[in-house]
Amino acid sequence: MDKTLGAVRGSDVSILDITAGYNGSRTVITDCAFTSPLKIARPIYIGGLTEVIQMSASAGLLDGDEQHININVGEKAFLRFTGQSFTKIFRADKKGAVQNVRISVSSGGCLLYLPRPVIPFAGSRFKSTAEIYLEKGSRFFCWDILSCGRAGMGERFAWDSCCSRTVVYIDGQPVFLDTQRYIPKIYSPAGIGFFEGYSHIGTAYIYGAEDINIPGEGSITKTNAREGICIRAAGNSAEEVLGYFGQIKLNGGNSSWLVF
Amino acid sequence: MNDPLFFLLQVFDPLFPIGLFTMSNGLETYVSKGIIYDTAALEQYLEGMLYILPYSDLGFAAKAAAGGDIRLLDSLCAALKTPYELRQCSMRLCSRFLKNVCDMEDIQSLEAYRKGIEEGIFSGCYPVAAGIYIGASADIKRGLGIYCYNMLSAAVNNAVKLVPLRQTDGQRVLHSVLGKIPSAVEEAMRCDISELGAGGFGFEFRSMQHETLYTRIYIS
Repeated sequence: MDKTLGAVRGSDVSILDITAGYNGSRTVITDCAFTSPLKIARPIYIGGLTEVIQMSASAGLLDGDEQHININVGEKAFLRFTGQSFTKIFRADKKGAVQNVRISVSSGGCLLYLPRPVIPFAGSRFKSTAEIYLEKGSRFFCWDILSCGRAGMGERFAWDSCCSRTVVYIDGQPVFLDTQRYIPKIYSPAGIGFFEGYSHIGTAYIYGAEDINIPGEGSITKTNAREGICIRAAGNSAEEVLGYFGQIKLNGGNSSWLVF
Repeated sequence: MNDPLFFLLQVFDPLFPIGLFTMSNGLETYVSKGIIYDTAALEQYLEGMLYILPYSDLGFAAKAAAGGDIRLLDSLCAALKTPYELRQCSMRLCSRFLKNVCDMEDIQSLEAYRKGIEEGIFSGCYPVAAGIYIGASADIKRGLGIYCYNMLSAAVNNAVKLVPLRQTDGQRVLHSVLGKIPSAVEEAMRCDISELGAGGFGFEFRSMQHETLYTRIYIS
């Protein structure tokens, strides 16, 4: 990533780069840099955890926008990273929008990465990647929720393309790989094998928990990934999927860190 | 090797004894939840498979066949198989495939993969093993096509038993999607390794639900 942030001023590339560390009494942001339209709100200190809310001066990702978000969490730091509003992807006639997220969590550190659901508008093109580097002894939880479009307006799978790739590495070894590739003109994602009639789908991943409990009823399920646990849920609104994820509970051990 | 066609047909026959018939890859969930209940739904299932295969099993096989970095492909493939049962099945199929094939033929690249698994260097993934075998045959495109056919045919055989459907109806549905195999193979050979890993949300979701299905005949 380009560390000389000034160089990209005025372009469609925006960068958010934060590092969280533990200062002996609480988790603080030890380093932070961002370029417009990305920025963060003043951290909120809630008990042992520190919350950072990512904000944007733009309504969403426009054609040609490129966002690079880099989050580092140090030893003993406990960070919750969340967004201000749903991620709206606007119609694109040229390049489409790109979002690259790079996360690292040191041993003893803990990160809850809870971005808001993604709404790709009609005619939009979105490509997102997330590379997550965890050390053994770290704790991590993330979710990723995708809608079929502006469902309330009857817009379903009207985007051009929506592709994402998430890879979780533990000490350099890939343990969880989740790629989604939805290009309605080539193959409709509405049916069997993909959205299966639901308007919203969500995937969550947790590392550093021995076991978890999920609701016994409803369209949510879990499995042990190569390392960590993968949870998937589907529904007919973002709230429904978030509602399922919100009920995930740690089973045994240190139960205090899964705070939504 | 003599004409590799017959060897390819043999090892990718759904009856080749590697345990394929015990695995439904989530199809059992689809049937028990009433999502797949007729030939139209089965056809949609197969078409979904064909859309996603170039970026999953068929893609890994294509990259392995083309001489890709086996260590990278093996670790990515093992990470991609998120549902626990699919990961276990892939490893099981892989070890039986390697045992059967290596007993009959002397293919150095396949032997090396088998040795690497024994030594713990590789996890052992069936698509990678299949790809290495295809790479050693003379015609990669034809090999990938037969491997793809094998996966579709196995799914149809399972559906015929699970739903149940008439054998002739099952074959008719299979016949209707065969024309899409060549483009799936081309896409598997074309796509970049960074595009690999797509599983299809629904396919993954049903494979995960299979772990807690009330009645289970298949192991995946």
